[in-house]
Amino acid sequence: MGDDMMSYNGGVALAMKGKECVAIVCDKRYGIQNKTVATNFTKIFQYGDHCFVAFCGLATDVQTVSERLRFRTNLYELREQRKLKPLVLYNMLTNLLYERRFGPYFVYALVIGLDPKTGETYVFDSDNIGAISDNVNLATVGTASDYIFGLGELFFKPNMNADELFEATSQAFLNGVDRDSASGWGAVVYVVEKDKVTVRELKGRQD
Amino acid sequence: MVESIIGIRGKDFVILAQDTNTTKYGILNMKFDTNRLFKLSEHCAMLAAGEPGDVVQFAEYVGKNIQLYKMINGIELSPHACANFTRHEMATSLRSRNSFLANLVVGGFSTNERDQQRVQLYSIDYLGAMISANVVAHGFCQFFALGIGDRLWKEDLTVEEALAMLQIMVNELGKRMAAYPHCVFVRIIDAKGIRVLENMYPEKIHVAKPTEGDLQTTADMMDIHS
Amino acid sequence: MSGIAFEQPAGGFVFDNCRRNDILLKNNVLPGKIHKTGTTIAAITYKDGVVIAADSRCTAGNIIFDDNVLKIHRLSDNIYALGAGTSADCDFQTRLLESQLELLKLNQDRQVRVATAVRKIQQHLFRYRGYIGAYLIIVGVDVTGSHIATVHPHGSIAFLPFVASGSGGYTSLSVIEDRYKENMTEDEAKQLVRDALYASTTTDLYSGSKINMFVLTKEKLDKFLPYEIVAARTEKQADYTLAKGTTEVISTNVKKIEFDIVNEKVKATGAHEAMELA
Repeated sequence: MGDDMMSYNGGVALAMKGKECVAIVCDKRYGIQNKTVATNFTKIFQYGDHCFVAFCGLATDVQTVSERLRFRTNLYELREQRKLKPLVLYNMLTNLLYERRFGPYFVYALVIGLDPKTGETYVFDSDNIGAISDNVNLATVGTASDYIFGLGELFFKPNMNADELFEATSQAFLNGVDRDSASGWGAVVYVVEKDKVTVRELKGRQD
Repeated sequence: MVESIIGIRGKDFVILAQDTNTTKYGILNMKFDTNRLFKLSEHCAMLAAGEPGDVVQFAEYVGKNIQLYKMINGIELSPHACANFTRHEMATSLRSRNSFLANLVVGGFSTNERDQQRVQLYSIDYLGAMISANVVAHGFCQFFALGIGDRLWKEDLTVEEALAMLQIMVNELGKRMAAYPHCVFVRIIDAKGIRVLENMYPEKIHVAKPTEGDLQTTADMMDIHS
Repeated sequence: MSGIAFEQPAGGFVFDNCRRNDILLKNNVLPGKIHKTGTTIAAITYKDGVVIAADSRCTAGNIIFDDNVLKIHRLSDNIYALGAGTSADCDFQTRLLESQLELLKLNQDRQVRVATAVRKIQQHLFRYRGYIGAYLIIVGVDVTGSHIATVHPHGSIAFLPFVASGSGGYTSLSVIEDRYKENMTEDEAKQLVRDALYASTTTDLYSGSKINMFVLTKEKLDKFLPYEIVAARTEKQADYTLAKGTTEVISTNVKKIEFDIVNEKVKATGAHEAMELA
């Protein structure tokens, strides 16, 4: 740990799809290498009613990229006079990251969204230089992503309802995070549905 | 990293404390009354530690710009806004020719009555990562301050309790740090503004005089027989 | 106050992080893994056109990040590209080229040629001295016939009757080289490409999952997505659905989303109309 810019501050996020609902979860640790400094550092940002983005990696870049993206999305909504759609948001983000192909931000990103009219759900991921992914069933990025991937695959099944989705996402996340020393200290889950967003804080192991 | 800066958020105040040593070559103390607190506005101030030149340059740059904002717009930035502006300046400068090595604690009391959380405390590191917390610190003192803070902090913390907590931290620093904090400046910010409190000093450490028996044990260990 | 005049995207690469990253990445600190296609891509010409195929695995280190990636990128109606190497580079360079070719088509009012696409990307990659890690195979059908070209990051190219590339490229290439004939039928060509991809997806760790295939001729474009699932995920052997309330929750906060009514139509009945008329 610490010899990789991506795990300097620690942190991880997971996103999963259900039927007309989509969930995203992140941990709350902010550390400096092996020292935990804060346990209230969440990494999920909202960009519109049904769109959320999680950034994992170097904390300063998490904040800088989220602000830059906020600037661009705000400008988009003002200029175009319409709401941001998940795919537009994802393209804006990957463009922002790929611009810095040769001097990247040290962040990985997850983008989730839901189309309130059709109920279509979106989960995308990106590496630190903006690699474009398909609309996938589940994706995870961050220091514990290797462990969470397996658990996510186990608990995922197609067409889950919001409650099932919440349990599957939370359990995959919590159990994976417990094997990682650079992330944890609780978690925040966002479950996005057509008419509401449910934010739950989870009890996590504090070490 | 040998400099200590600590911020504690209370019920309706924040306390900003700092050690006062200026060191050279990592081993020499040059002075014992260094000020690390920079006023950003009437109800907001910033503690800064790091490369001495950078610290003053950056803190004054940020401070003066925040004052300029007030002159241009006629309203004062809240501590939250000050901290976000400072973070942005730090992250931007990091990508330029003149990057600064300074770790910061920004604290203050928001004059806006609509703010849910009026006492605001932030920590910003030299990379531009910002966190908001109840107890924040920078430098090696982080190891002590955060641990003690986690243990003793509570909702509705009074000034007395906060100062008692700070005294424990200072004692620990005096006991464990090679860079002994000879004097700690303490400031408080609340609805009335920024005020200076009594200096704080680490508790004297008493090393008991060895008894005859202790000396004999030491001699035995060293295999000295007289 | 630089904080107020925030950046406006100007287009092209931005290098403002480079100095900082140099400082951060001193002392053997690693920058973190980026996504690689870790690919097998293959293309062959046959009697009427070209057959192209790619596996569908995206890797970051040893982790399979995605097992359903389309590595066949559209450049124009008659030209397609297969990408191997750094995922982001393949994605963005093909997008960039696609937009340039579209503009060219509109300017000239005629179909763009494969040679144009190849030359454009070649010059672009050469300008970046190999730092853009895109290994591309560009295929297409135009007035001069059907073509396959391979383009490397440094800008070197080769027009070939068949080619394979990526981490599993050599495996595939050996299969194609063994059985390739000129003027094959479509079925023969598809079978050969399928066999080549099968060989590499089953041997190369960084290639796998599915074989996607396109058949491109002057008249048609057939898409097989997928042509074959080489290694299907096995069914789960138990039901792992978790009961509601399994996870311990500290706090719950529900935010209602206000709806804008986008479209509302009330259809009048005949009786209603009659009333209004009266």
